[in-house]
Amino acid sequence: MLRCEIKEAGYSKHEAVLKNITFQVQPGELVGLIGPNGAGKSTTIKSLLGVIDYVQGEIEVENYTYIPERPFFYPGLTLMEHFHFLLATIEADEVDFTRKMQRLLKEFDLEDVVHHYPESYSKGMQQKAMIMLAFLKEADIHIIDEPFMGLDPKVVRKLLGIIDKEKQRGAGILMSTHVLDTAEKICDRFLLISNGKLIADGTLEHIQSKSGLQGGSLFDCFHILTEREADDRLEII
Amino acid sequence: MTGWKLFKLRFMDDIRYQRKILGMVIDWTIWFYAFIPFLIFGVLFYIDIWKDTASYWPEILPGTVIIRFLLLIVTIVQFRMFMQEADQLFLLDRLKLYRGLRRAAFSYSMLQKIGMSVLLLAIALPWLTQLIGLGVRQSFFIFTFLVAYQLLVATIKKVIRHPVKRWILIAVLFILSGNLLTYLTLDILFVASAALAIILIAWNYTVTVPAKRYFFEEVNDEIKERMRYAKMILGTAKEVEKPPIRFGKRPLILRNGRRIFKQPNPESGLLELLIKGLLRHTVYLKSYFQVVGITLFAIALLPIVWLKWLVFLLFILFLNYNSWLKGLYMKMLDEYFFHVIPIEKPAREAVWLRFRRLLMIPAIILAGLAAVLMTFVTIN
Repeated sequence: MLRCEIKEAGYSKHEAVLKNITFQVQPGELVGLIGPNGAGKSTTIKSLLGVIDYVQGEIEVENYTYIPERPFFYPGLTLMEHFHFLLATIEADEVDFTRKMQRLLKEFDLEDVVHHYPESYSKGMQQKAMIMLAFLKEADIHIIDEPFMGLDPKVVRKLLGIIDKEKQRGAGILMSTHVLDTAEKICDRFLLISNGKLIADGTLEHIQSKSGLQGGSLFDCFHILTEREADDRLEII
Repeated sequence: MTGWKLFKLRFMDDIRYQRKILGMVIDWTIWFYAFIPFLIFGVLFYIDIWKDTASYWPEILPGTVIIRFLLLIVTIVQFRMFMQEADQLFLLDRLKLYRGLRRAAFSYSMLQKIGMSVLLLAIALPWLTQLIGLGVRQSFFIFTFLVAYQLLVATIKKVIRHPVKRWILIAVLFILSGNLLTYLTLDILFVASAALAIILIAWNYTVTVPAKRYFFEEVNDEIKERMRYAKMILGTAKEVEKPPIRFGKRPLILRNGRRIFKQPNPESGLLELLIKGLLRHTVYLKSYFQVVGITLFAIALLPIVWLKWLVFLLFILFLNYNSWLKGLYMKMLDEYFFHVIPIEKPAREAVWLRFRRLLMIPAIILAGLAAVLMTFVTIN
């Protein structure tokens, strides 16, 4: 389970970006983290990972994987060597791990380049390699930042299938995204962040009722709630 | 706005930019104490070469090698079209302006090549006239040959996109051009060179200059061209960490990703990652060999035996207690990738000891053997 109770967080004490962000991700639950650009989604994720300088509050997250928006690999290692490293760190059953790895390599069409440096891949191929590394770990929590960027529709479909399997396995998933129509279809719950604050937390029905748009799409609700929050902020100023 | 005006703007902007870059490291003291004396020395040296050319040329080399040498120098040329990434939005659809800019840029590239040939020929003139015995007329023929060769190399670089094919072709051209001097008379060479130069200029003006298909390569070339001095300055600065050089898409060492340790566990996994990362990181590897090399050099060079052994002992202390090895280890672990696959603290600490041992033992054995060997050599 992931538990986040941030009172304040940011790049320094004087530059707190987030205020009062509290949420949980339960096993088998897919939670969409949505919000406008600069709202604080990435800062929230960085706070969960513990890579931000100033965090006041409590964060509980264990045995997690993280898929960053921009793929990161270890310099000078081929994709196969990244898999070897992952296998060594999670101490999984080698036969089972290799079988899953081969299946994913075939599914994501990376078999021919597995002995190449991932730095030489295209952006989409790098994203696929990153997704493979994350899901092969079979962690309790997956933190995914903009997973659909740079992926073709075929791969997006495969990724959604894997996310569904992971959910059924009992893994909790926190997914930050701007692709609201896809999020609306697959997420169990949404966290709407705007201007560093959590302005809505709940199912689509909850978001619809909060925005006063019964039966409205997530896209429309998102628009109303973020505009309302911006207006409220202007009134205070 | 015309193409010529746009070219002038970009050209002047480039000159101002390069002046700023050079101005950061070259102040009046460098001009005064380094460049001016160097210039005066150069002129005096040149006059002396004219007076006694034979003593400035190794006897075993035939005089025609100087022409091959000139060909080798001008192989770096290419056409500079002053294209920028934002031109995709603002220039590509304005064909008249686009072609006008490129025509001006191509003309500038031509002038640059002619200027380069004049300068090189002026430098080589003492050898050409006094060693090979060329007159003014024949030197002009060589000048035409140099210009035609540069145009051909620059055209190959523009048209052939595959880097290996491109460089093989240029190498073949270099060898052939050098041999032409042996088989053709200078008169024939001049006619052929002049004809080739005219054909290449006409062809480039009508085919490559108005084309859009070279745009992205030209943008990359322009970035390299704009960064040439900055890159040179950063390349010589010791404080700036250089990125590792990677050869191709696949590693040269352990090419098929064979595992070093059979039993996978977090410690062996991390150690294997570090070993492979180190072996394929030219900068880390170079710094390791530099540390060992300097020690071996000092042991070999010092004239007194106890000094050799003191260096050996200091080397062991340096590897044990100095922060260099630890710094290297921490640096290798300071990768954002470890947020994707995190490594626990106990594994990091355990692997540090193994990593240190792995780098220390071969270095100490090597330095120890050198100390023993050099002790025997010095005593005897």
